[in-house]
Parts: sequence; C-alpha cells; structure tokens
Amino acid sequence: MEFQKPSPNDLAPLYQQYADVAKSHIADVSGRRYEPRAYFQEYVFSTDQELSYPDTSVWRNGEQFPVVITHITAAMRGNRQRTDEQYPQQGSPALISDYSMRIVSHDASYMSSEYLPIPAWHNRRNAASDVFGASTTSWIFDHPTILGNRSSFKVQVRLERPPIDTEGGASSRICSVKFDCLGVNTRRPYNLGARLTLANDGLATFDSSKLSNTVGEPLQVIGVTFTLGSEAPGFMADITQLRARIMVDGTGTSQSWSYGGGVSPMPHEFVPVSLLGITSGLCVCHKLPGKGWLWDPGQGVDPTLKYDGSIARATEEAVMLGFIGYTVIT
Amino acid sequence: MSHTPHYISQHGDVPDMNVEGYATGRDEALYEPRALWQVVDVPFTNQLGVEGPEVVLEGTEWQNGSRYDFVLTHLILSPINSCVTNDAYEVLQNVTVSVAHSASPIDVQRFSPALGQCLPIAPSPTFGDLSMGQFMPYDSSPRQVPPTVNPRTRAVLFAQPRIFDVARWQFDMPYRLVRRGVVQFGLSSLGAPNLGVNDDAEKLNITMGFDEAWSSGSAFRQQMRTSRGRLLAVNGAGTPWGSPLQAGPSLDANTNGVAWPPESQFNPRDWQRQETLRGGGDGSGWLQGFTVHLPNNNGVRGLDNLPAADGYPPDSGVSLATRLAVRAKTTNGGTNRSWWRDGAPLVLVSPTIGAGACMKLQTPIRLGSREQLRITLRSEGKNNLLAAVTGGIDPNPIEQDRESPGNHKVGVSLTGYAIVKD
Repeated sequence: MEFQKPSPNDLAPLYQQYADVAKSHIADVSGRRYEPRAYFQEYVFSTDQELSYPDTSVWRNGEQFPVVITHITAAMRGNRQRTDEQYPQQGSPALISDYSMRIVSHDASYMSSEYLPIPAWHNRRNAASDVFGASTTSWIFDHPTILGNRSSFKVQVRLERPPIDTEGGASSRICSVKFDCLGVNTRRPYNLGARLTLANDGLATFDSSKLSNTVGEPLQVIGVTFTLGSEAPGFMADITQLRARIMVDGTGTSQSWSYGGGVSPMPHEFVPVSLLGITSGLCVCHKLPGKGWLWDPGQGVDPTLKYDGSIARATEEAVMLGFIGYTVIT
Repeated sequence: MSHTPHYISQHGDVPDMNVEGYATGRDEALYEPRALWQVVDVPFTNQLGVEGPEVVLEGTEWQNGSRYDFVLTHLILSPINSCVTNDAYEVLQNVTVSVAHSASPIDVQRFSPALGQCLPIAPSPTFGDLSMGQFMPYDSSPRQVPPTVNPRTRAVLFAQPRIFDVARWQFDMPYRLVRRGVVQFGLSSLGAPNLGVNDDAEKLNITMGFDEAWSSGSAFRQQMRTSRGRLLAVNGAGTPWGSPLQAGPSLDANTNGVAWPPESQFNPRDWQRQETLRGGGDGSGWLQGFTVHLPNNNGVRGLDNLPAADGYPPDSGVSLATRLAVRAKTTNGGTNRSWWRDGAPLVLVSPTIGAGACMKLQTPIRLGSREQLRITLRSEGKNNLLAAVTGGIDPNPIEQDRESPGNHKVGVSLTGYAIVKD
C-alpha cells in the first residue's frame, strides 16, 4: 500500500497556522512575542455526583491574540479539611484514577468519543524526585518570553487553607518562585528568585524588586519553578495547596498568565500551581500531538469529566484541569 | 526533537522518530515494536562487598529469531512480583548489568563505552539528579538552551506511575497499521494484592489504549482506540502478593487457571469498531504507543479502614505491572508475529512510563537476524535494607528473602522495534 507522508498542505486549519507560528524557538527574530498561558477549571463532585459541568467558557481563547495549547494537565485538588497533609485521603493524587475525561470540539472528539480515565491521558514523564517531588512544580515554556529592561514579574500566591501546626511541626509555609532566564545579548544565564513565608491562606505578593530585570539587557525567560516547604527539617509541603498568579509589569500584555474558574473562593486568575508541572510536577500530563492546538480568539474545546469509581465518596472532591500553552503576540 | 541512532545512520537508514507524538515517516519501512525479556533469580550473598555469582542470560530469549533487524533502544530492569515500596526497588541498587553483542567483536568494541561495561543500576526513589542523569539520560533540555540553566529535574522515578497507575510505551517509531489491521493485545491473570477492603478491590477495571494518528481527515489527528471495563481475573486469596511470576510456559500455572482470560483482552471487535475514528487518505494509521491503566484506588479510599501499622502503601496499584503478563501481535498487518515472547511482565514493556528502572541506551543496539545478545547480571553482597514490612499482613516475600542469602526475582528487557523492509 502506498505510503504517504503527511505534508503541511494536508494539515487541518487547526494546525496549519501553527507551522508558521512555531518557527522560532528562542530568538525573537520574527517580531512575535510569546507569553505563557494556563487555563484551568475546577470540576467539583459532590458525594453523589457523576458528572460535572462547570462553566466551560474558560476553555475559550478570550484574548485578542492566538493561543497555542501544548499540554493538558490534571490533578486532584488539595483537600482543605483533612489534617494530615501527607496522605490526605480525599485529596490524594491517586484518586484521579476514578475520574474520566472527554474532550469535544465541533462534534469531533479528541482521543476518544468515550470517557477515558484521566491517567490514561498521561503520556509524558514529568515525575520529580521523591525528595522534593510533592512540593515542587517546574514549567519550562515551549517558547521563552521576553522580560525587558527594568520590567519585573508580579507574582502573588495563596494557600488553599491555612497551614496546620501539626504538619511537620511548623505553622507556616515557605514558598519560593524562580524564573530561569538567559540574557538576550550575552546569553548569560540569570535566575530571578524570591521567597516568602505564608502564615495563613491570605494573599501574599513576592518582592518584585527581586524579580526585576536589572541586568542591563532583555531576558529570555525559559521557565518557572515553584516550591513549597517549611522550616521544619525534612518536611515537604503539598504543592497542591498552592495557587499563584503571574503577571509581567512593563513587557508583553501585562495580563495574568492564567485564567480559570471554579467554586473555590479564589480569584479566578489564581491557578493551582500543580497544574503547571508539565516539566516536573505532581500532575497527569498529556502532551498534545505535533505542535499543539492553535486557538484563534473565541476558539476552544469542551472537556467534560465523569466519576468512574465504584465506591461512594465520603466528601466532596474536585479535579483540577489545566490547558497549558502560550499566546502569540503579533 | 529528532533522534538519529548512530549505528543506523552509518547504513543510511535514518527513520523519523516519534518523539513528539505525531506520525511521520520518510521511507517505506514498517517499524514494529519489539522487546526481548527474561525473568531470572539473582542470588545475593548477603555479605557486604562480596559479589554474588554472575547470572548470564543468553539463548533464544535474546536472539533475533526473525528475518528483520531489531533496533533496541531502552533497557529496563525491575523487581518482579513485588510490592512497589521504596524498599522493594532497593533490590536493584546492588545489581549491575552488562550487555554484549555476541555476533561481532567489532560491535562489542563499538558498544563498549555504553554497553560493554557494567552499568550501575541505582533506581532508588531517593537518588538525586546526578545519578539519574547517568541512569536515565533522556533528553530533557529545552531546545537550544544550555543545560546549565535548565531547571528541569532529570530524576524520573517511580512515584508517578505508582500514583497514577499507568504503564506506557510510546514507540520509538510510529507503527503504520493498514486499514483493517488489528493489534491483539491482552493481559494475563496473575495474583494481585488483596487489599482487604472489599470485594471490589479484587476486581479491577482496566483500560487499554492505543494512540493512533493519521495524516488527513478530522481536525484532531490523533485518537485512542480503547478497551475499557474489562474485569481482570485476579487471585484474591493466599498471600497479599500472590504467587511468584514464572517466566515461560509455566506462566499458565496461575491459581485461577486462566492465563489469558477473554475479559482482559483487547477485543478485536472493539478494535475494529473504532476503525471509523481514522481519517482519510489510504486508511493507514500510525500507532504511537499504548497505555494500560490499572486503577487500584479502593485501597486509597479505604485507607482509613486499614490500620496504619499494616504498612499498606495506599498506591500499591501499579505493582500489578510487575505481576501481570502481557502479549501483543498484529493480525491483518505487520509481520503477524508476536511483538515479544508472550507473557512479558507489563513493567518490562513500559519504557516510557512504568514502575521499572529504565535507561535509554546512548547508542541503540542493532540486532541482525539470528544474532543474539548476552546479558550479565551480578549482585553485590548485602542489601542495605530496612526491616520487612510488619504488621497485620504477611510480609512481601522479597522482604523475607533479604533476611538471608537468597535470590531476588529480577526482570530485564530491551525494547525497540523491528525494521520490516524487504
């Protein structure tokens, strides 16, 4: 039988435009700028709920620029009621095996017309070491973004619930963020990092002066890493307890990199950072085929989730779903 | 991302690789998955610094018995028939392995930097970045970015497959499957942990899925053919860890007496029913890989029902990958030959995501027809292990073995593909 290699002309419009967009990985020679994006939604399941239909407008590109989605991530929401953070029964990441997902767009299903268990979507290694895997999320961008001279990151974080004294003998959490950068001109590596202490579930903002570009040249930002720990020796905090919002002041769109929804009493731009762990993190990570999906403004998909477990849930559970990618500023 | 096997390129045969998960191909060859595997007992002397006797694996298990060349890209080692705890994997810490190509002395020399010498296998879940870089040299650096500023952790451990209960093989090469081609894929029934929560713990709804891509048709160019809801016949009686896995024909000696129960096979009718998922063109699709999902969450939900002192890991599900046998072959397409000897433990054919310790070979091994490999396993003395699992359940047999000199059941495999080209 004649073998035909797929050619660019064969590609559907969803991918066709991307071939042009994705030519430059590092240098911003095309005049385009890239900014990471993360869309997320909480799918909340009460004790007797089989299906969850939250607001799906989250899964639309609501910006004026095209967005490329490269990864789908999913994780259980960290439980707020349990006291043992190490093995929260109803927040255990393993419970995601009981949930299935289906993605539909324009009457076409992605992967399968049936609901597939979410772990069956997992096709990319992103496990970190057990030493810090539960408390770390690392996201290397598909396209670096530019941080101009004198520009700075504005990073805000919140905990899902206040830290509990009995957890590792500490009543607070130490959160850190680090951006890995390269100098555009010198190719010199830079790290912009900051840390702060979270004593409760209130909003906290990292010191922007430590996240500013003061090196005298524009920076290519290639990734971000979050960690959550405590002063107690050897204690790993649960990264699923942490949410964050990242914005850039002075370069790019100045919009939040994340946008989502859910019933959580959180601002809709605070993404659970565990969903960002496409490089390393405690989440199911599905890499989309090829270069990903291109969403023009208004385009998107409709994912629905279903509970497949055979045992009744004792409490409400929530699955967090994330679509990770970047926007192309033309 | 491209992958160019050095050894192949000398022959001008450089196929496109399937790293990004999109079907490509530039030649007429067919690349069918292949794995060579064996489960053996590795003796430990239990004396510090005293090596155990060598275990040499050779023969038909490691011979390319087909007319087509094999290209082997990954080496997997795993404890077999064990509970997935940190301790169980420490068995492998003191095991070394070497691979030699018996057909040509020249090849031995060629492979000596990567394969001719013993490779320390250190798959402890607590080892760090450096040793993982040696052991699991997957390319993790972002494109054109110096690795010195790469924050990615190279450590790829067992936590994730253990938590998410998945085993996956993303094929090195997309496997072209013609229209009406069917992959016969199935699991065997072997003993499974009896979590003691309720009867449902012994009934597992498994999902088997094959990613398939095509060149034209619908907007989404990739689908997954799935077989769901198959009740896996397991043995809920006896010890929590069942009877040891036996290699070869004795695999059938399961307490259930059914080696390949129909309910845990990918039904060919289910496969063909999803034929319509394909796009246009000539009807060929490219299989990208397969995933097996073995949920065992009843143990998690029932965690409160189990005394903590029992030591039951809440995420023991993926240990089934070390206890379940798997087989695969293509009908109406491909070579119509088994992809590996029937009965390979699932963990030994899951190089992408799995419970085993996997190393991507720096230089793929090309194994010609009738050529064979020689694998040498050696243990070094005493395992510095913790005490056996204690409490209200029977300890893992492997844990018991550690208390005295004895054997540890270890599985080793090499995975890759056959180049089917006339």
